[in-house]
Formats: sequence, C-alpha cells, structure tokens
Amino acid sequence: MNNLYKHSRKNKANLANQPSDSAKNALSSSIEQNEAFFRQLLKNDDMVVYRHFENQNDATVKCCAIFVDGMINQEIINENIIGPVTRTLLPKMGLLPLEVLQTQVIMAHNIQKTADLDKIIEALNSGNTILFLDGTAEALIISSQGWKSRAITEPETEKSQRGPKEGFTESLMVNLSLLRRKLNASHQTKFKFKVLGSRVHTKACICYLEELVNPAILAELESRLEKVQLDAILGTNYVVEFIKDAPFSPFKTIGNTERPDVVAGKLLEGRIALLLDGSPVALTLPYIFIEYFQSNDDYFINFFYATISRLIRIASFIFTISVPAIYLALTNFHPEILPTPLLLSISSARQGIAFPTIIELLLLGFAFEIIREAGNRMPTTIGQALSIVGALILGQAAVEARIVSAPMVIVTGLTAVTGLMIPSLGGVIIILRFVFAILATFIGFYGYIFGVIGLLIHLFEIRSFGVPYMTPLNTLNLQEIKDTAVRAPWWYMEKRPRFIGVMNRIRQSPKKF
Amino acid sequence: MSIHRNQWILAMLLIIAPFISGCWDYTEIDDQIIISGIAVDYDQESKGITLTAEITLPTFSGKESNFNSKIYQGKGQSMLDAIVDLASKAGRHLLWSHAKVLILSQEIMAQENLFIGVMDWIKRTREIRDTIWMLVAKEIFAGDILLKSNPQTQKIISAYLDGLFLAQKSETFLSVPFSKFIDDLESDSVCSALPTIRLEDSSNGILPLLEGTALFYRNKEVGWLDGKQTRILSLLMNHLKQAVFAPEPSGNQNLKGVSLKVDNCQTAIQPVLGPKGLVMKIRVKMDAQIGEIDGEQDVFKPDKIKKLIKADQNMIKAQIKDLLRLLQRNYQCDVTGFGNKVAAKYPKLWKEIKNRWRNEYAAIPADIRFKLTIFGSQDSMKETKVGP
Repeated sequence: MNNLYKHSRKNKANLANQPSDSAKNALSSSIEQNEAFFRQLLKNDDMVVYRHFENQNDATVKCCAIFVDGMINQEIINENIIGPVTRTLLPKMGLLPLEVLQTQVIMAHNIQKTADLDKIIEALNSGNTILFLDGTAEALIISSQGWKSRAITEPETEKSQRGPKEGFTESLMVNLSLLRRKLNASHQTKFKFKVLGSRVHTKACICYLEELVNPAILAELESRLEKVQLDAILGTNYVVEFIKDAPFSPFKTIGNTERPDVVAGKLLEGRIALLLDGSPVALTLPYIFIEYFQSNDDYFINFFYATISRLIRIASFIFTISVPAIYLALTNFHPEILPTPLLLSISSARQGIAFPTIIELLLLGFAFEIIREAGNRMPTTIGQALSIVGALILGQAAVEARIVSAPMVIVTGLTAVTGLMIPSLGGVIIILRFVFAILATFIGFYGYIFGVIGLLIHLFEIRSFGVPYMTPLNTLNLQEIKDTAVRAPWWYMEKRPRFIGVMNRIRQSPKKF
Repeated sequence: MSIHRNQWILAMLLIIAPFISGCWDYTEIDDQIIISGIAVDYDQESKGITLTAEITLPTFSGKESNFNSKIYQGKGQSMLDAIVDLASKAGRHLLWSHAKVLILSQEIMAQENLFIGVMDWIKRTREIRDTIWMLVAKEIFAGDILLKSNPQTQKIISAYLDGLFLAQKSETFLSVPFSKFIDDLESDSVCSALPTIRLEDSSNGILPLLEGTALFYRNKEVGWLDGKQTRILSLLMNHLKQAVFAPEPSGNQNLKGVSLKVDNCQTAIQPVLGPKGLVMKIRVKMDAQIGEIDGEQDVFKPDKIKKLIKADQNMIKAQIKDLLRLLQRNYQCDVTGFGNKVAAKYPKLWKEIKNRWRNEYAAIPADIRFKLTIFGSQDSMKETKVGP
C-alpha cells in the first residue's frame, strides 16, 4: 500500500515535469519525428488518428494529419484537406512553404499556423485537424469540428405557453447565435470571450449591450472572474459559487435561464449574461429577489393575467414557508384564535395520535421531500409505483392508522403544492419552512414573527453586484414598480430599472400615445 | 469569507437559546379539555360555590368525528377553589377560551361577595373571552340547565345557546356579553339587565327556554320583565332591529287582525334640562311592513291605512309608557343607561344628583314621539281573499 502511494506520488512528480518536455520548439521539421513525438505525448489515447498522405505529382510533399476521431467532420477532412493536397498540381519550388497550403490548397474557413504545442493540443481536443508538412517545424490548425450536439428544444424546466419554444444547448456557439439573432439591430451588442479553468479550458462569453450596461457592474464581474482559479469548470454553478455576493445565503444573487428570449430581455434592461461552453444554462446578473417570481410567460400574455399569476406566486411563497409554522403556533400555543368549530375538528382529528404536532410535521415533511427527491432521480417508467406508495404515506392510510392527523396531511399537502410553484426557490423554501416551524414550536407566534423579521433583515442586507436585493421595495417611485410584483402594460413601462439600467433609462420616448 | 470564531459562538448561542429558554407552554390541542359553558350556583351546605361545566368531548371513530357533551361538577369556597376541584375530576388541562355561556343562579347573585368574586375571576382570567354570554337561571338550580336540558337540534347546550344569542332572531331576550354586563355594573347607575333562562317540560324532553329579562341594582334583583316587555326594552335600548307586533285581543278595533313586521327601528333617548327640570326625550322611528292580515279586510285603502298607523302608534307608545312606568316607579332601575347620558351632557348636574339617582330617575317625565312608516301597498301585495 505504502509503495503504491509512493509510486503515485512519483508519477505526480513526473507529471509536473512534463511541461518542460513540451517546450516551445518541441516540433521538428520531420513528420516522422513529429508523429513519434505526438504518439509519445498522447499515448494510451486511441481516439487520435494519424493520417499520412502525399501529393500525386510531387512525392516530396508529405503530410500528416492528426485529429481526434468522433470530433471531426469526415467530409471536411476528405474533401477539403486530403483531397486538395493529394490532387493539386503544385508549383516546383523546392521546399514547399506551409503558407501555400494555407492560402491556396486547403479549403477551410479557419486555418491558423502555429508552432505552439499547448495551442495545438487544445485545438486537437476541440475537434480541429493538425496538419504537419514534411520539412516544416510548424503546423496548421484547420477547423474541422463535426461532433453531434443536441437539437434546439424547449427547456423542460422553463416551459412557455405563448413565448418562443427554443432553448439553449450545450454548444456555446449555437447559444450565442440564438442570442445574436434576437439582438440583431444593435452594433452595441458585445460578446466577449474568456477562458476559465486552469486544467480544463472552458470557453465563457460575457454578453451585454454597451450603451445600457452599468460599467461598474461589468468591471466587477470581470475582476471576480479573474479570481476563479478552479482547475475545471463543468457547469455554470461552479462559477456562481465563486462569484456570488452572499456565499452563505441560500438565496441566489445570480440568475440562470435556459431561454434565449429571457436573456435578451435581461440584456435589454442593462443586465449582463454569462454563457459557458458545455452548459445550456446562461447566467444573468445582477439578480434581485423579485425575479424569482417573474416568469418568461408574463410578457407574452395579457398583463392583468400576468399580474395575477405573479401575485399568486408571491402568495404561494409566503404560504409554503408559513403555513406549518402558523398551524403549529395556533394549535399548540394560541387555540383561542381558532374558531370553535375548527378547534373541535382539529381536536377530534388528533384524538389517538401518538406524536406531538411538530414530530408529525417533520415526519410528513420528510416523507414528502423523500418522494420529491426520488421522483427527480427516478426513471419515468417506475414513476407510477412511486405515486402509489407516496399516496399511501401522505394520505388516507396514514391517517386511518392514526400515525398522522388529517389536518396535518392538508397542511403538508398545501405547503408541498405551493412550494412546487417556484422550483428555483426549492432549497430556500425547505430551509425557511423548517426554521420557522422550529421557532413556532418553541415560542409560538413570537417565534414565527422573529423568523420573518430575521428573513427580512437578511433579504434587505444582501446585494447582487452592488444592487440591493430587494430593489423595488426600497423606493416609492411608481416607474420602478411597474415590472415587479405587478406587470404593467408595455406602453406604460417607459424607463428601465434605476439601479441596473443606469446608463440609459429611456425604454421608449414618453408620451408617445 | 471565513466565519470568525466569535460569530460561530454567537450563532450557537442563538440556536441554543430557544431550546433552553423557550416558553414551554406547548400544549397539544387534544390534551386539553374544551369547556363550552359554565353554570355557577350557591351551595347552601358549604356556603360556597357549585360549578357545573359543560365539556365538548371530540371523538374520532373511523372516518367520522363526533362531539359529545359531558358535564362535570366541582365545589369550593371560591371560584378558583371550585375550578381546582373540577380540574382534578376532569383530569386534563382545562381550555377556557372557547367557553360560550356563563349561567348564574339567582342565589349566587344574591350573595354579594361570591358574586363579585365570580365577576372578578372572569376579568382576571385572561383565557375567558369578554364576549362570553351572561344568563340568569330563573327560579332553578343553574347547573340543571346544563345537566337536564336536551335541545333537540344540538348535542351541546352551550353551542345551542350561543347560536341563539348570535342569531337573535327572537326579540324576547337580550344578548348580554360579559363586557357589557361589567360595564353596566361598574357604571354610576349600577343597573344591569340579564336574559333569563328556565326549563320547560315538553313531550320531547326538557328544553331550555330563553325568555325575559332580569333587572339588577348592584347584585340585587329588582324586577323581571317578560318577553313582550323585553321587546320594548330592547326598542328603548336601540337594539331592536327586527320584531313582530301582533294585535292584542282586547285592543283597538282598527288593529284587529293586522300584524306588523318591523324592518328597522331607531331610538334616540336624550336628556333635556328644561325649566321644570330634567325631561327624558324619546324619539322612535320605525319602518314596518304588514306581515299578516287575518280575515278579509281592505287594509290598503288610504283612510284605512292611516287609521291603522295611528292605532299601531298608539299601541306601541302605550307599551313604551307602561314599561317606563315599571322601570321608573316600580323597579327604579335605569337599565337603558339614561344616567350615563345625563352625566355626559350635564356633568355638573350629574355630580349633584348622582347619589340619589334612583329617586331622581323615578320622577323624570318622558316626552315620547313615535313615528311609524308602513311600507308596501296594495299594488305590491294584494290582500288575500277567499273566492265567492
């Protein structure tokens, strides 16, 4: 065991030395030597293909193409690289310069000449073809990507009734194209690339509209991204946890969405979007609390209905965190508040129940969370079995067995349904519901109220990239609250939010109608 | 980003605090006995209190909830003493906040010390609501109302009485919550009125019958009004909203067979200091419909209806006068709160006459004006006539 450990440590030391082997001028002018070098460097990687070919008319023009099978478009390599190089009648000029191949022979939209080994390796892993010419110590990086990516479909988690049905995919370029098409009229739309991750390079793109974005927020984002030193960034949440404002808060201060129309809408309010290659989720920032309750559909349907939907969502949030605590406080500390018939009904339902109310609540709440989590993780084919068993645990059977009381099933059911209304608040809801219930168990309504006060203090304290989290609530300005808990009609929203769209607040010239 | 050690300690303290210092009066709802009504009697033997409590006992069988009424009795030298006795019999924590009625017997009201003790206990116990209805058991043991009566529509007697008071469809009794009673008792005029309850035997069992009003000066019962007189008292107190005035058999010929249904009634009583001293100015405005016409009559003819209005006005006015005479001369009991109005309007005069208010009250002349409007005409509803 010890030996093995030592061995692995030795290996680590070897790995650390490797960069010195791959110094800048590791390439030689002989393609055999280059191939041998790459075979040594990429040993045990059988995806890499080494293809030799030469010109029909001039056998001195020998080439070797290196590419990764499965990541390339075979047609490009056959028709646009091997085909032209083998068939073209090349001028006899002694040693053929690489530039001739680059400019006159190979037909590809993007060719780069380099001798930088790191660049070559990264290009190889990104689906490019590396072409070596005998006699030249440089290589051509020819763009030949051709892997399969997921089709553009509607995101499962953010369905829309009237809005566009397209969603981001895992390919950054596809995502940016979706976005660019929506913001086509402005030369101010900026897409700035960045590379994140020290071991695995992930392409990131910061998008914004230059005339709207708050430069202070943009600078802050860039400086925070500089500080991310993780070796690999495989998803957006890796970045979020590094750059969010309140790292210990369950509330998110950076938004995420899979919908290009949502991102476009946020960019037009002066927000910034961050997209990562390999992730279908775009980050938007700054993110304020009320955005939890805004849905993309709100802007595509009648504003009255959108307003009602938003108010219902807010009420659901309040319900789902408060109902268990209020029920506990009422039944265990303040039964005098209940109307007599309700008191009698609850009292009769609790006859013969062995557990105290709080234990009942925790049991049922825990059972519900288990079922929910199982539902998330389980293949859909056995979903039916889950719902049957779930109904037994959370239903009539449990009540008839006198393990839980019927009002508690109703309370849990109500909290569960209202809690599912805003999926992105899921984690927050579980924590708050639990904390409020425990507080109410100890000191009744006082505890619940303390909890609510604590929550409000926390919410008013945090900021997202300098913007107060509860933003529209700290002002009495009518213009500011037009797109918050209510959604005003579009012709009425004349200005952008004050904190975010600070550079150019006019959405439309006022008094147009 | 790292949390400082002191912050950890602070967080721990905050978490531990509710566990060790939380108010542990956590009581499960099913561990409490829900008291729905109480009756207080004077115990002759021990010269103390007999407390009868009605308890709503919820039970759950299969899929059905049942609520049954159980009666417990406790005895003691004071109210608290009796409650201790009661609690030991009931066996669980008593929940007073849903008690709906408090029935007092006439004997306990006669015992001034015990009576004040009971009132004081209710005021002092934060659990009992001020809206608890007050009743006097007429000429019987108050506990018997809870023990013996069997209202057919409700299992729980207190809930039955609570429903009656809340609906107040019948105008033959007053609804007096504890807050109103204690206000009257503590006011300068010290006169109060309470609805009376007794038991009536019927073929379906013993029914509780809520009718009439007992009048009190301090804790002494000075008189009793029957159902009809209570209706007029309620009119004077401006509580009467809906009532029926049926013709009296020996009354005016114009009234014969026509019953009035009162829709709205407003009464204002004002003290006026004239040259001859205080006058009680009473103004009544009543809107009524014709509720029932017995026999074939052409009531809606203009001259007929004028006569009818006049006759009705006279009848009700006479009833008001009778009641006032009874209250002023016989009982000397100012339950309508006239004294308070004098105190508010003529504070100097009130200081002089406060101490002899009962005698003063008896001599105040009343100036009554009564206006009756009858809605509805022949067009809206014709008289019922049997065909030829």
